[in-house]
Amino acid sequence: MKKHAAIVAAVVALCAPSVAAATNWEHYGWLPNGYDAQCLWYPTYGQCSGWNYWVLNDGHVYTGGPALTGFENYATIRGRWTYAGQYAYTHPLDFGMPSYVKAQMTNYSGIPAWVESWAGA
Amino acid sequence: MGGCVMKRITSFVLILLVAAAIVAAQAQPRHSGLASIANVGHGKVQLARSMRLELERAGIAPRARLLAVRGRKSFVRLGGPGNDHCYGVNKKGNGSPFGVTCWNDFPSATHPILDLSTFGADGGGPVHVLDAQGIAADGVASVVYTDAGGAVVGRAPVTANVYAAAGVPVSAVRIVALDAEGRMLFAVPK
Repeated sequence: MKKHAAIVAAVVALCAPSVAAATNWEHYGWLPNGYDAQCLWYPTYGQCSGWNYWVLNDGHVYTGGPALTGFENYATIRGRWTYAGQYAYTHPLDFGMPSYVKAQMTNYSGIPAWVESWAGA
Repeated sequence: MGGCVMKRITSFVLILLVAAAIVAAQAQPRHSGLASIANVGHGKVQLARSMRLELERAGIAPRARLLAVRGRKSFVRLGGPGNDHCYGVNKKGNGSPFGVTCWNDFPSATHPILDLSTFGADGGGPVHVLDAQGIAADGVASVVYTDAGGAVVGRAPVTANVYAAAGVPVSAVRIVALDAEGRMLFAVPK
């Protein structure tokens, strides 16, 4: 009986969602990359995460661009222009924004860019 | 006869010297000091634990040297020996993380500034410069910001390889680095 209970407990523990699981978002590829309905400001030029309490958004431009790496909400968009070869490590606090935002990377420079944008919450 | 030969030789040598001087003058770089930064930083900066972890995850040694303080902002150079091509800025004293940008090709003649300015917009307006700040190579004399038409609407002084200016006009949309003769070296965005 004890053995049976232990097996059940182990199965329950394995199946239960981890409340401490880290959340992240990533876009790896071309920018612009078609219409992204997640973007509130520049859906035809940007790629954006969903809403979250993001801590950081790391943007890297491999070629082309530059692209704006940062965050946005309904009222505001903020970022740093990131050039080919650069790694930009940005936080909502860098821009005086609250942490409940969308991470974004936007490129309206006219030069398509191959990028990686990674946000962690 | 001998005097005539001597005159010819002297003329030939003179022509050679003039040609060498012209070649040497043309070989001089148009801009100098674009691949160097005299400010090596002074004093270690204490990094918050979360910042150290973030840098380690990115493969950057969690060490920072202070380059300059401008107003409430601290400008630092981050990383360790052989891998210290990262620069950051934060608000002094509030423990906030450093916004960091790394660039292997800085400083160079192609990339004489590493711009850390904040660009953005509010309420549906156009994206513009909110604060002008960054790191400049020795050969950058000044940094200005321009409006959509290219007119200069303000200037950020460059001191100890750091430029910073708050209160930038809403019309400013571009950061432009200039040399001592006022020639454009680099612009953000292009």
